[in-house]
Amino acid sequence: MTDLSDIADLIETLGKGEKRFFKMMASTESGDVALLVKLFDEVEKKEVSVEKLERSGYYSDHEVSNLYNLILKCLRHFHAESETILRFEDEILNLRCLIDKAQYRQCRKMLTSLKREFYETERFDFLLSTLEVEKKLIVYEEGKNGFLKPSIIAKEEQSIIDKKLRLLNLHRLYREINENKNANSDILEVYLFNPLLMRSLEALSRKECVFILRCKQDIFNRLGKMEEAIACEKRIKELFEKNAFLRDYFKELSITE
Amino acid sequence: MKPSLLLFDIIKSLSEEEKAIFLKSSSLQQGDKNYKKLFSYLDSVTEYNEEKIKQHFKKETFAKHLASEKNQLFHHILKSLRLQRIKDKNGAAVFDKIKDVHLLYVRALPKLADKEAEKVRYRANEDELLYTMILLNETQLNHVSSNNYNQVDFTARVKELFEEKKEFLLKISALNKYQQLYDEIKYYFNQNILVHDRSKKHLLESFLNNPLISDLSHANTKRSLLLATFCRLICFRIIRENDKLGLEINNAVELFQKHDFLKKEYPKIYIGLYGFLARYLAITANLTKARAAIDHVRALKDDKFFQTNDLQNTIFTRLSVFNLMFYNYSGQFEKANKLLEETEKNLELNKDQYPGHEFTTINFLMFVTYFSLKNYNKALKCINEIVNSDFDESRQDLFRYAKLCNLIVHYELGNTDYLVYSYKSTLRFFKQIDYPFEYETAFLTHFKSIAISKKRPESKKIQFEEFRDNLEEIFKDPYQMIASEYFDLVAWIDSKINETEYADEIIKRRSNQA
Repeated sequence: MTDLSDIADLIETLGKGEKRFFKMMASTESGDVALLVKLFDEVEKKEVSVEKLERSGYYSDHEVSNLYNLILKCLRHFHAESETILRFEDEILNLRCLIDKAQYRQCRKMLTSLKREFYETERFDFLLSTLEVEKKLIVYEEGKNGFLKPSIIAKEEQSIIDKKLRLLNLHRLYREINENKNANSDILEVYLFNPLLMRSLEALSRKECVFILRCKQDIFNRLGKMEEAIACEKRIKELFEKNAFLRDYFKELSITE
Repeated sequence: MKPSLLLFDIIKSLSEEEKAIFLKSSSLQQGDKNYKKLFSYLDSVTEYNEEKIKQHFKKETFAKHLASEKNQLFHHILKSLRLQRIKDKNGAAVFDKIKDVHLLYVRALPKLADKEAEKVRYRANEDELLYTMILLNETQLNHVSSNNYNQVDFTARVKELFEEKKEFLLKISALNKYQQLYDEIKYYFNQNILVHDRSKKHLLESFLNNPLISDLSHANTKRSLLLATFCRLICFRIIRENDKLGLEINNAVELFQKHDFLKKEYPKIYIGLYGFLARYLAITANLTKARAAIDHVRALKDDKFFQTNDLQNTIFTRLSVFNLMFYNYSGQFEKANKLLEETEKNLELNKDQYPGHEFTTINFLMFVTYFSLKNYNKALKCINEIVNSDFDESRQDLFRYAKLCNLIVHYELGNTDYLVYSYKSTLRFFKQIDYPFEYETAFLTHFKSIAISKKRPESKKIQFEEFRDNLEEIFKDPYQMIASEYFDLVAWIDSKINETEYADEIIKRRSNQA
């Protein structure tokens, strides 16, 4: 359940533009929003403490929850264009709407461009969601050998699942190496022979490459093999320079250069 | 298709409710909105004409940059449709809520983000939204460090998220395999509803022996279980194992009843299932219950989850098939006839939007109704629609049968001269077919003596009797029975032997069956 202190925390983080947008959006909402706007103002101005507001009994739990949801809705709309993840999610929903409206060609056009973007930035999670839509789309697309398409997509999906599973295992291994602070050199050497780290980098996604290099860099550093560690670091830098998305991805995972 | 026409098409596809919501949602921005003017104009015209648009808006500045205005309109319409989808569909709403989780993490409000994530997780788990779960997991994993956990809690949380991700990836992987199997079986089913030789039976049996289908413990989600059940159901239908088919129909119905989300996620399977149920009830002489199953599909037309163009098309085609099949099978040809005008009109209007196999099936069933009512010209028109379509895209078993029925209609019409030419052409067609049905070969042999050679009418009766004896022998093999379910060849022969009508023979057969 949402309480007023949650709302207060949320309002605290809002910028001027976001607050203005909230008011504008509230005015287009159906139902009684005046009370919600009043509550928003009271929490924002902090003239009355949150505890007092809660005790006043003037606002029901239902209204508090509605206000919270309205602020979140407003934020979703406000950042729809600027936040990449929000844009991706909207684009995927667009594809579904186009299928609903039997606009298959336009859907294919947008899907192709979206898939290209996801492959370029290795957004495998979004690629899976896009393939889910594509599986529905191919049912309506014209052309001979249509029966082959499901198996082609199934193979594509399986290869992405395999990539994601490998990434997951690499991430796990990276954490394990990192957390195993007391590992002696024998254990560290064993890590180097882990099948995950023995794969040829050429056949892997760039995210997998960074994970492998980062694991090896850590191990070499701890083994005192500085030359090898520097070589790994250099390759990671090169990859980061060439692919801006990697920096964001690994920064979110708190794994930096 | 040009982008302008796409825009026009999408506007025309909007329901009144969708239009109203679009106009309302666009009122968020202040001032005059050009795209709104453009929308109202395009909504009011019946065809897209760029010159007329420019002429209409000649006094407006935006007429000079119409392309960008159209683009803006297209994106506003998509936005409005998106919002409606989010409002109406749990899957879309849950997918959209992941944004909140992300935004709250970005704002350094991890506790609120986690709270939202739990709500999303609960709803996504309820409806097995596996892809959404992967996105949610990814979002949480990316922001897990923002929670300021101590080392032990951090490690435990990451481990938990890793385990969850693995579980869902494996579930998607299994679902993917089931989907693949289902697509293969469905493709086979859409082209040939019945097996006609042992080798094809073995192919179907190999599907049934696939461990994913024979051992349902591999189905680790309700979605996979439904697909596995439906795969079995289709296989049993094709190889005509009616008892096992009935069992699988029950299992599938039960799954849909227990898990409401399956109906929304697999609406076409749901529609198809009630067709299988209706047919099963009809052949087990439960005509009233069969009718009720068909009526259940009809009611879906107004169900709010079945309002997309695509699902309405599916309901139309399936309902046409179920209704005509039911009335033709039960000998209620007048009732079937009442449906034909609307069916023909709709078929003509949306021909390109219907799959080839549905087009063949509906035309074949319309042929049977017209033939039973002795409207041979209309019956011939339906047959021509089939034989002039693309063989590869059609229901191939019915396409072949239509070739034979074409000869029967010409025989009934007394087109003696044309029959000789048509017979030769049909013979050529069947020579190119790898595995003709036994009854097809028998038909061509007997029909030649009956209709092509010039013999006296009294010897024809004997030939019909010989034809019937031959067919009776062939039809002892259940894989040759296609003729009896759609157009009853034996009933037609009986009508010639007994000098009755085809319709009377069908009614006689059904009353004997009851």
